[in-house]
Amino acid sequence: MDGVQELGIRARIGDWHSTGAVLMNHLREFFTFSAKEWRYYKLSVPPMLVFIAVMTASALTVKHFRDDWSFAVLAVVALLPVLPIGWFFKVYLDFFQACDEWERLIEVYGICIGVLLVGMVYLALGLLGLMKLVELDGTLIAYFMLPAVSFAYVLGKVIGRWRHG
Amino acid sequence: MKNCIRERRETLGWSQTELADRLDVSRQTIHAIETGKYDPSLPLAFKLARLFGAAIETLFDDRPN
Repeated sequence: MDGVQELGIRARIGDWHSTGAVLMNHLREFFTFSAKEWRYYKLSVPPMLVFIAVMTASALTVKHFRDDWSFAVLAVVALLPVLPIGWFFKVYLDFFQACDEWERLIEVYGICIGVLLVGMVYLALGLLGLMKLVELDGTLIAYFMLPAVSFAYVLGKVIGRWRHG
Repeated sequence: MKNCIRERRETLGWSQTELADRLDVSRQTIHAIETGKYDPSLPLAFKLARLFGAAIETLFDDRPN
């Protein structure tokens, strides 16, 4: 009998106290990070902090020198925040490489759900925009794509752990 | 797939973490295998069999109930 079955049986027989304990156990299992996960989460903090700093500096620089500098220079400055994101991706790929087979299954689950869910939401928004039912800010939508994928990826990992954990 | 990994591990007095360390996998992986929610790859199944000194088919049973 696995944990989910146990939870169902306990809930049915009205053993609410131990149902709560089992549920808490599952939740703890979901949100318990292994030493490896913690190590890579810590490694991902510097690129994110650098991203915030570069993003702020880049936005202020472009705003200040918009009329003085050429388009090419402004474009390079505006794209500088992409570099720390590349650094973040490197940390993530190292983490993925260090995962064992079950952890990779969960990661792939997260990535699949992240990409598919965001793809579906963006398609829905695109359809609404295409049919002139809503007014969409394309720049803002493009900017929030990566955070949306990241959020859906975490959601996917929780679902993956629920099904295979 | 049903398996007797938990029983074998407990016979040896090992915790999930100890077994995970010996197999170079995470504790969650051992938990997922023991609860039957994840079937290990063939290389990992061989490692388990070697560690417990048993044949793979005595550890895993793919027949329906």
